[in-house]
Amino acid sequence: MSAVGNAFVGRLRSLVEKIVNVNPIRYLVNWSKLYSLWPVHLTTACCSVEFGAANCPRFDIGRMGVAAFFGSLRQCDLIIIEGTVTKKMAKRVKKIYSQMPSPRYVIAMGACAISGGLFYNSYNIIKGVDKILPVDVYVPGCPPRPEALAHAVLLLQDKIRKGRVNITKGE
Amino acid sequence: MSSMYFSVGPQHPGSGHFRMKITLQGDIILNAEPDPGFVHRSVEKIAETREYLQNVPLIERQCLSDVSSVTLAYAMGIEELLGIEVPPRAQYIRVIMCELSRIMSHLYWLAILGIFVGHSTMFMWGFGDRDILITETAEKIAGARVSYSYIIPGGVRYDLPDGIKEHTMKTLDYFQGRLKEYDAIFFSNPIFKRRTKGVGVLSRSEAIRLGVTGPTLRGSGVRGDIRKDAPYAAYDELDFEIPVYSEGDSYSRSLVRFREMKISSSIIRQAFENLPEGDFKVKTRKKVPEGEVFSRVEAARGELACYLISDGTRKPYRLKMSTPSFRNLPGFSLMKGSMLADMPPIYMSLDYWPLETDR
Amino acid sequence: MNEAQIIDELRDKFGERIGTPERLRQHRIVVTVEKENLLDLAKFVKDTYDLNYAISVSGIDYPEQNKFVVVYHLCKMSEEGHLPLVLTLKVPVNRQTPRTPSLISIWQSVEWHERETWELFGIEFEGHPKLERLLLHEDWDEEFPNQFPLRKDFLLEDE
Repeated sequence: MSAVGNAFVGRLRSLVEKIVNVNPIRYLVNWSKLYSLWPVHLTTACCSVEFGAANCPRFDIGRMGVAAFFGSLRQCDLIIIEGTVTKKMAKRVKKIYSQMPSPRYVIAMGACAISGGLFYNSYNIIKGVDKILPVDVYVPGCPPRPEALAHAVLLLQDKIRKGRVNITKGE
Repeated sequence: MSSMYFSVGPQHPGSGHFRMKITLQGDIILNAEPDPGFVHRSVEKIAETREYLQNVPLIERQCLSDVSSVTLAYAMGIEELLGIEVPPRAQYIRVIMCELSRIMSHLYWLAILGIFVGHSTMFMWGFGDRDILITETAEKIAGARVSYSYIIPGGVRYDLPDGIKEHTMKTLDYFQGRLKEYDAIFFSNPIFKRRTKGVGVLSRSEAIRLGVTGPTLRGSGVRGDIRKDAPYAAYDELDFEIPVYSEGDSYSRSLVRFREMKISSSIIRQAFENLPEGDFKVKTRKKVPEGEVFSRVEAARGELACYLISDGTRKPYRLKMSTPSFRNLPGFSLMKGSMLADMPPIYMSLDYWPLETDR
Repeated sequence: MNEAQIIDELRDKFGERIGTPERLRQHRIVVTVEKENLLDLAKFVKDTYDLNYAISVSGIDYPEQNKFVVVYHLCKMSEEGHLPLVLTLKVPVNRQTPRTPSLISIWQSVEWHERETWELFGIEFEGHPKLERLLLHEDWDEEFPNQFPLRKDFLLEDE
């Protein structure tokens, strides 16, 4: 019985997905996601200084539709990896990412989060956060200026706007 | 009543890249144990594989909110081994940069303290002023907002740009006014006072016994400041006082930092007034002669010591940074016996910077 | 109390039991001491010169001489601030059996420093109450069994 039920729901889902991806609806769904990105408050290394600055009066990425960082990751859909991810932190990063509800996006901020940066030959770091998470936008710099982070947010919104709405994938 | 164990961080609005293991009984903290290591990037090991000058940006990453003092300790060590005298103009520029980065660091701390005790205005003001006033001045001088690698062995990288004196003076004038407003809205605020007065008291003898440093030490009535006690750069030619409060609670530690911002701006003014003409750096050699050196500076969070051992090659044999945050780790024992709601003010009053601890 | 006096007094008091105290420059004295005499010397300098404040504990690896050196930097802290003098105690430790007495009974502030040195160098501090993982990650022992990152025989990738 449950197998039949699952098959039915599965078919229903793919049908809904087809409908949702018809252009005006797809645009509407994506648009509703665009301006309410809630980042997780996870600081992995020193780029957090510039992330803090980006949230505050001078640069204020809040006006682009990124809420101020928020405590509970159950309500978040954006994770900004600020700098180096050490091996000790990597476990937590994976855990935090797995607890976030879908759809979720990842911004890798800083040279260390992209490739290891200055610490490329260290024994205790992950060389690039894309080894453990699927990264949407990379922000180069050491640390990147807040304007660069704001630009990354714009790029991410562009990606969401053009993207396909995916509801079957449970992930 | 049974006790409860939980961990604060690393994903928590009040922790940063850091975890505290806290044991609670009811609302009282029985034990608070720091668990550092989330940002251990092995700076000391990597430094052994790179040349002396290449290490400047590397070691500066361990404290991105107060970069000048870290690089200054390292540069002073190398200069002592090389036996070179840094020109007076460079010494004064170093003082200016160190005090600028002290204000930068204290404003960052003040902003985070504000949000920790639920004062959002202070958070916005602190970060806003930091960006508009101080970071911009640093950018004009050194070419980058926070990570400028400006202080190098032998002096500083470039000379001061034209018109920077007027710009800085204007900035500091405005900043003076802002400090009065901070006092009115935040430090005289009865809610803030009640949340921090008598919270996390560290006695004078205990402060010395635990080996804490910086404003944490000065908040407990000890006049310990390397700038006065073992002067470096041009600090012996400038006139300034060391703020000391003897209560030893979170409020007095906060007041020390608050008054230091004012004193730092007066040091910057004096340094600009007395700025000598001349060279801003001298030539250094790539190979550093054999020997060992222990150089100390007063960073924003306290005494920072750099222990450097050279074996006569282009790379350090061993570089040990004894950082103030690491030495303030025993201060977490202050949380024992206080209420859980007092944890954020105590934590913030230590001004703990995890990157500095882990290196 | 100037440096020359301290050096003379240490030499008179300890004689052959410590290496010759050396004055590196103004305010810096280095004393080498074997671990058997370490506790005596540490007690003496703390009581006599009131060096109540340990600044740092470092380890150094000398594989050619088959030894580690544990370095303690001590200074005096009074109500009126630091004394500029820094006394350095150097304790050579055998590389095969790296053990040395912990100074935590004399200076409480060395606790975290010794724990870090234990972790990164593998030097055992006898009498230290808590030698546990501090900076390295939890799976270090599986990833690099019996290796200590700050030793010279631990090589990074591009060396």
